[in-house]
Amino acid sequence: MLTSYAQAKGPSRLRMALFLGGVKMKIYKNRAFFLSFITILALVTIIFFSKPASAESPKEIRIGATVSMSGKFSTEIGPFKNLMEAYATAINTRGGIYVKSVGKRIPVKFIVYDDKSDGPTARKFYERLISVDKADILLGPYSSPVTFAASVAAEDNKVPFIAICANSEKVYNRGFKWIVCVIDAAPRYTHRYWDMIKAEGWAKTVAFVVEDTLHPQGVYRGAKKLADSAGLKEVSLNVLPADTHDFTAAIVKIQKESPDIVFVSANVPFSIAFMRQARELALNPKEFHVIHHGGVFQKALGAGAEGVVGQSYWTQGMNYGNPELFTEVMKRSGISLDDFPWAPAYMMAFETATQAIERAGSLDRKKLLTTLKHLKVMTIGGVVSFSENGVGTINTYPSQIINGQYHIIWPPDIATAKHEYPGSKN
Amino acid sequence: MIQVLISGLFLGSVYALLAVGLSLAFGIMGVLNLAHGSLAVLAAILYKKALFLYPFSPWTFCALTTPIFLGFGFLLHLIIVAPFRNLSLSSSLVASLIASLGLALILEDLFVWWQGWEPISTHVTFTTFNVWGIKIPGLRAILLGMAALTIGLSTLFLKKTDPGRSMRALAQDKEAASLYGIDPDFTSMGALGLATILAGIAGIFYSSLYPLGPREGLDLTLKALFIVVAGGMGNLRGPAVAGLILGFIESFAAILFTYTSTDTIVYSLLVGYLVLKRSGSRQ
Amino acid sequence: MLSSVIFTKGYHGIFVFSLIINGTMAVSYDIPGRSLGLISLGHAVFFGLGAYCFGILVSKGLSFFPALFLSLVLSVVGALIVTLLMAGLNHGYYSIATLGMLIIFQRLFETLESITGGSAGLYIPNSMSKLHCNLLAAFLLATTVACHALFSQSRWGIYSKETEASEEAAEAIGIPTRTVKIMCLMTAAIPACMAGMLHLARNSHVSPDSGFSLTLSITALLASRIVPVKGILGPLLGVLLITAAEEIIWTKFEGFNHAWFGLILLFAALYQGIDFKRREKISAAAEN
Repeated sequence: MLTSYAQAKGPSRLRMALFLGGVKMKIYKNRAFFLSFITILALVTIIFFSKPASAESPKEIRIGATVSMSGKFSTEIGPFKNLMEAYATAINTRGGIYVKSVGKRIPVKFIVYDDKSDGPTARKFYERLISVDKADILLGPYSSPVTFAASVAAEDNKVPFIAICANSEKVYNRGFKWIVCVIDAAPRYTHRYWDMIKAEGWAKTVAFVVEDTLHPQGVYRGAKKLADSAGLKEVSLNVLPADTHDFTAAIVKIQKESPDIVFVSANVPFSIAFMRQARELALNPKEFHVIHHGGVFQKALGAGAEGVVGQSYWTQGMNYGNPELFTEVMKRSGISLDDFPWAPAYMMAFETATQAIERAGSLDRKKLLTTLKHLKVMTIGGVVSFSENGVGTINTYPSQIINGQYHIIWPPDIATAKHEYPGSKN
Repeated sequence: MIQVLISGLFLGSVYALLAVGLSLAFGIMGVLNLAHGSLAVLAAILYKKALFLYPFSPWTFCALTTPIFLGFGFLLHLIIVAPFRNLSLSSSLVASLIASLGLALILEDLFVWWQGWEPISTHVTFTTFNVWGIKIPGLRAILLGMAALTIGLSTLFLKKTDPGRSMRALAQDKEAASLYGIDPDFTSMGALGLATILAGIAGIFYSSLYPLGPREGLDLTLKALFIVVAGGMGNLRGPAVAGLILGFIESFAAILFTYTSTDTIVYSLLVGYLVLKRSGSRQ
Repeated sequence: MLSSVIFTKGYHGIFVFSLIINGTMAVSYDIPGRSLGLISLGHAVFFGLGAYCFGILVSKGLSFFPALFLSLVLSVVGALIVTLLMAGLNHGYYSIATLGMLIIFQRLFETLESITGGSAGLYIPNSMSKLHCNLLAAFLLATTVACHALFSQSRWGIYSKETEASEEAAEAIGIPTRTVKIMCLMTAAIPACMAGMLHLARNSHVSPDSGFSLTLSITALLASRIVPVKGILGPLLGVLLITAAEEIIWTKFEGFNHAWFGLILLFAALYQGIDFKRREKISAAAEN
């Protein structure tokens, strides 16, 4: 083709055509390079030359946090940025938080990033919250593994860090000084349930089904000891990976032992899959205890969830702290308590942070930490205070699904219904 | 033991359904469709929403949504296949992988915006039958039957119909198929349409048995990918059998070893099989 | 601001460090990716191996540099075993097998709790200053780029190209294709192992999810291919683009973060298809 062109048009035209073709090829090769380079330059400029927040005069109190809006924990906690913003709005409509050193009420602002349910990403964003956003105080991410990584940023930079849903003891046994947690350690998560079982005296044996992740394992270790103290014998233990789909082997094994209680220490998706198959294969203990049995669990199982006991931080009817504020915040955020039963724990963290700032009278980090460490504050879930290593005092209450509603069933002074178990109505 | 075997069969049927659609896409078009699982999640969401209007059974809803998913398949073809058809094998594989990954991420956010953050789990009540002491959950048994029927019909379609034969010819040799007058674009569009229908059915069945997060599409795809490669690409029988075997392995590994080591064992067997089967085959 | 750009502390320090580590992963990924046309979904296996070897040795009491050298040796041995298993596979089978290896390592390291810390992972106190970590990481990236260039120019690079074109033909003319593959894959694995070690030294924490991370593998793959520029510049520009875009989206956008990122990937892929057609037209016009 080229030869015939040259013959037709002459060599100079051919050279011209080749030159133009070559130039065009170069332009297109360079175009991709050029476009990429310009795009990258623009992006890097935005990142590095965005102005960091000024820390000079506190026009607002900055509370930094990450929320798992994507990744494996997003089904548990995804919309909680709305909860934080709703709390900020509720506090700001009341004038904000009083800071004595400034002599006035200052509005609150939450700065929230998506940690993708990933430790290193959380760690990076907490560094950003500290160094770029100049957060005064930090709230922890969801889950012990992510908190484990994220809290390193707070410790390195000496910023008070209030962990929320992270009760694995490993997080608090590293000698970190700047971390506290509103909730009690995992082994004590179900202590009120076992107190109730001991008081009632009807159960003698228990079978455990445990999801092989940090939090459920921690809860199981405590539950085993507590069950033992309550006089129950462990007749079966089944530790399963988080994404188990078939529970037949475990269910058949448990059926042989006929336990009084089947105790499922697991997150919601695991619990749903297990309970569904347990009902299909007619596993019928006197009671199922599923530690996380929120609204998603109930909707998925329908009548199969009836009578199941689990653990809740709060239900309607409990009168600690300021339940009206909590109800207002939940309504404003559009989050359903049944679907997201961790919301009360977050509310307790908000209340703790607010009280710490008010009582410290300053946004100075060292003062805030000292105040936190010695704090005793009434929240919607009860009194929050902290032990030497930062672990808190809030624990869950056993709650039962009765006629499709959640009721706290122990201790008697705050129970909203009586525990229904075989022989309870006699 | 027999109870575990039966449960393994039910579990395997869900995996088989997930995998066969992906096998078609990979085998016929050489496309690694990472949005395959997201289409299953989409079907689950549609089913959940539809249940608010009327108590459809899973199989009825599958039949009703077949044309819709066929349409989605055609649309998908325009995004992840058509633009890259003239690239080399390696480049088109990478480009379609990136495009389908992008699409999967977009769909994830759309799903969360549409149906919320909670896992998708449809509640369908069905009796459990007791046959000689073995418990057969009615829903799982019906879904097993439906899975077998779906795969059987799809296999018949591929073997006995002209469009099906065209798809198989395309999978074998694209250039030769074109020479015989087979339109590669139209045929591959049909193949992706069929793959999308199978993904939709898998999603509806899956959400009837297990909770499915709106962002779990990619996880589903990766599991299906394993089964496809172990069972062979471009046909339905291989991945179907591989899916069933995976179901059995998962169920039995739990009683032969511990549950915790099940995943390690399952994936080690799969990788070992791949290494032994494919080494030296230059495929 | 400029001092933190020179990478010591704070968020910018971490960002730049991540950029360098991702760059190392992308350039090392590109070695077998370009030469042999192999698409790995498990490149993070080497990263995780390096991080955990280093972490376990430090937690047993070894100081920084001895732990670094010993963990390099151990992780390279581990990488060699993985490579020997994978070297016989091609195309889709290779991709899936590498993904399988990633999941196997993830699960294994979750199970061996007494050694690896289980799903919580390993925490080690700061063993090196942030500045030194970042400088070491920059040195590692420079070395990886040099290895990439040297490999491509060497006879092994040429043998790799011939192997990619046709393995049978390459064998027929006497090229030891299996050895070529192993050389190529190990040249990619070693920098990845070192990147893992430095990641742990800088961040103090690694878990099975973050060490054997599918996201990291896919980021390396994307960075290597997303910018249609050949040679070393491709992965370097790609990693800049992806890392910068991710940061902007996740810090400046309110919601739909994954969707925005997905759109970028979609456009980048579609651009490659359109760009190819344009180049075809130009070459056809040039010929005419």
